[in-house]
Amino acid sequence: MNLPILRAEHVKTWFPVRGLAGRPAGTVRAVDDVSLTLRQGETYGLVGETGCGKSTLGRTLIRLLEPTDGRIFLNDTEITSLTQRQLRPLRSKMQMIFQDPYSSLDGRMHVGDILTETLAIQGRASRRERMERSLRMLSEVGLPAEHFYRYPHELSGGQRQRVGIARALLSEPELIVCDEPVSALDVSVRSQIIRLLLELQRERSLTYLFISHDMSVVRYMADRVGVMYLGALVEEASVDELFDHAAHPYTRVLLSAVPTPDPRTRRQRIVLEGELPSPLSPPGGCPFHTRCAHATERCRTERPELKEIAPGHIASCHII
Amino acid sequence: MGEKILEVHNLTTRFATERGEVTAVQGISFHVDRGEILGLVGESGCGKSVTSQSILRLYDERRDVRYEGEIRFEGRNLLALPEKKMRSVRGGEIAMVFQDSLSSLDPLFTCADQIMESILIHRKISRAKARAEAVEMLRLVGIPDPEKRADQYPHELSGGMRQRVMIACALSCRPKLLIADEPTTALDVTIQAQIMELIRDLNEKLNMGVILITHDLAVVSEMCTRVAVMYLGQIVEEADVVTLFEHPLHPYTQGLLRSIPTVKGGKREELSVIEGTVPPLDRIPEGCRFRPRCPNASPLCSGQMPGLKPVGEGHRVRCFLCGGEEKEARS
Repeated sequence: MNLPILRAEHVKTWFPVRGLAGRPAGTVRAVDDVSLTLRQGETYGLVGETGCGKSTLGRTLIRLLEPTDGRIFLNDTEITSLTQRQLRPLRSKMQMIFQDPYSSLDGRMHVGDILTETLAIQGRASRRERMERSLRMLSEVGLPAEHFYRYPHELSGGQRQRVGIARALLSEPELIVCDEPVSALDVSVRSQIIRLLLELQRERSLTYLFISHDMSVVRYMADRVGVMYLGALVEEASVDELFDHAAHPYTRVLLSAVPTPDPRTRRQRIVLEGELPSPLSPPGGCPFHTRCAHATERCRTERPELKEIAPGHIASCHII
Repeated sequence: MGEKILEVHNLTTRFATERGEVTAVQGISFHVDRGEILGLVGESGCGKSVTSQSILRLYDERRDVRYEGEIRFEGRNLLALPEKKMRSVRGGEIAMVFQDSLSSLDPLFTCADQIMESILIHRKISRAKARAEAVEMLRLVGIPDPEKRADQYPHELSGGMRQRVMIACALSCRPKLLIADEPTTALDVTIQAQIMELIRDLNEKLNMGVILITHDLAVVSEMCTRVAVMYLGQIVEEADVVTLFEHPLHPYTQGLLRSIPTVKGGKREELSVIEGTVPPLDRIPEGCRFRPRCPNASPLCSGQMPGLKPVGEGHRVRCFLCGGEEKEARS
C-alpha cells in the first residue's frame, strides 16, 4: 500500500453566520469532524450533494481555508498551524484546479502571464526560464504555443480548463485538489480533460483529491471514494466496493439516482424524500435520519460512529 | 405511431450580429407525437436552445432574428401567426421550463403570484379561483405544504423547489406541449431524479408532449422515446431511443456515446475522444459540418453537404458514409 501523502484528523471547518445588523446568528458546520488519508499516487473521489461540505473540506485540507479544529499533515509535517509565510514553500506541493476556469483565470492577463506568474511567485527561475517552462507546460496540456498570448475570453471552456491545469502543474505539485474540474464542460470536451488528467497522473505520479457530484466520472477516475453528507464523511471504500456494495442508505440513494446510458434498463429508483436540512441547524442523532427510509429511534438520538464493515470499507450507520 | 402535435419543417433561424448574419439553426425538421418525450441532444452551440426558443418565437423579431420554414402546431403555422395570437400559444398551449430557475422567476413576487399570472392571462377566472389552482399545481409538482409555500418568495426556496415552481407555472394552463430546456442541469443527481420522475409522471397523466433538451445522454436514455442529435445547427441523426443507443450510425453520435465514462467488471473502458471543439457559427466548415472532427472523413465529405436520409424505420442520418446517401452521391 502506498504511503500517505496527506492526513486529516478530526477536521472541523465552521463558519459564523451573521444576521441583521451583523449580530451573530449561528454557526454553519460546513465540515464537522472529518478524518481521512490520501495516499501517494491515488485518486480519492469525494462525492455528495451541493452544500454537503465537499469543497470546503477540499480547500481546508490544503489550507485555503482555516480549519476550526483538528490536525492536517502533509508528508508528516503538520500544516494546521503554520503561518502563511511558513506555508509558502509547501504551497507548490499542493495545488488546486477549479470548476469554473473562466472566473479562476484573471481576464486581464494573457495565458503567458498567468502561467509565468506562478513561477515568478516561487522566485526560482529567470524570466527566460519561466517563459520556456510555461511554453513546455502549454504543450503538455495539449495547447499550441500561439495560445501563450491569448486572453482567457478568447479560449473555449475546455482550453481554459487546460490553462488551469497547466497553472496547477507548473509548481510541480504532489497533490492536486480538483474541484468539479469537468462539471462545466461539454460531453466531448469532458472526456478530453478526463483523459488528460489521467495521463498527467500516470506521468507524474500525482495524487488527486477529485471532488465531484457526477458519480459516473468519479467511478471512472477514482481509486477510493468518500461520501459526504451534511459536513460528515458517512462512507468510504475502494471505488468498486463502494459502487457494488454500498452500505450506507444515503450512498445507495445517491447511486440509484444516477441515470444509466442504457435505454433497456430503466431501473426503479429510490427517490429521496425531502431536502437537505440546513447546515445551520443539522438534525440531532444521525444527520441522515430525517430522510432515511430505515431510521429507527436510536438514529434520532445517537450519532453513529464510522466503523469498518469490510477491509478498507467504513460507514457510519446504526443499522448496518 | 401517434398523432403528431408539433411538426417542424425546414426551420432556419438566423440572427443579425455585428459581424453579419449568423445561421444558428439550418433547415431542421422533426415532429413530436402527442404524449411522447422527444430528446434534443447536443453540445453547447449546436442550436438546441435556439430551436426551442424559435418554436415559441421568443426572439425580438423587429431586429434580431429571421425565421424560415414552418412550425405546425395543431394545424396552424406558428411562424405565420400574428403576435397577438402567438401570445395565447406561449404559456397557454406550449409552455417552457428554463434551465436557470433563479433568473426565470421574478424575485419580487411570491410563488402563487407567478403561477396565477399565467392562469389569469390565459383563462377567465377569478383571482380566488386562480389562487386555489396555483396551490393545487404546487401540490401536483410535489411541493410539501403548498399552502405555506405559495406565499414564499423564490429566494426562500432551494434550487429543486424553484425548479418545481417553474414546472408548476409551465403546467398551470395544461399545455399540450412542454419544452424543458436543460431543466436539471444545475441540480444535484438526487433532485434531478425527482424532477425527471415528475416530468415523466405528468407526461403520462396529462398525455402532454415533451421536448427535453439536454446534453446528458444518460438522462435521454432514461426519459425519451425518440432522440434527435444536433450538431452545428443541424440534426445529424434521429432515431428511437433504443436504436440510437445500440446502433448509432453518425460518427458524432458514436463519439458522444463513447465519451461517456464507463466501468465494466472493475476496469476502465478506453474513453474515446472527439478531437477538437465545436467551431463558432461564423466559421462553419464547407461540406459536412462534422468533417474536421470526423475520424472517417473522406474527400467526398468536403465537396457537398450530406442530406438527412432515412436508413431504417424512423431512423435518419446525415452522413455520406453510413447510409442511403452514399450511393446517391457517388453515382
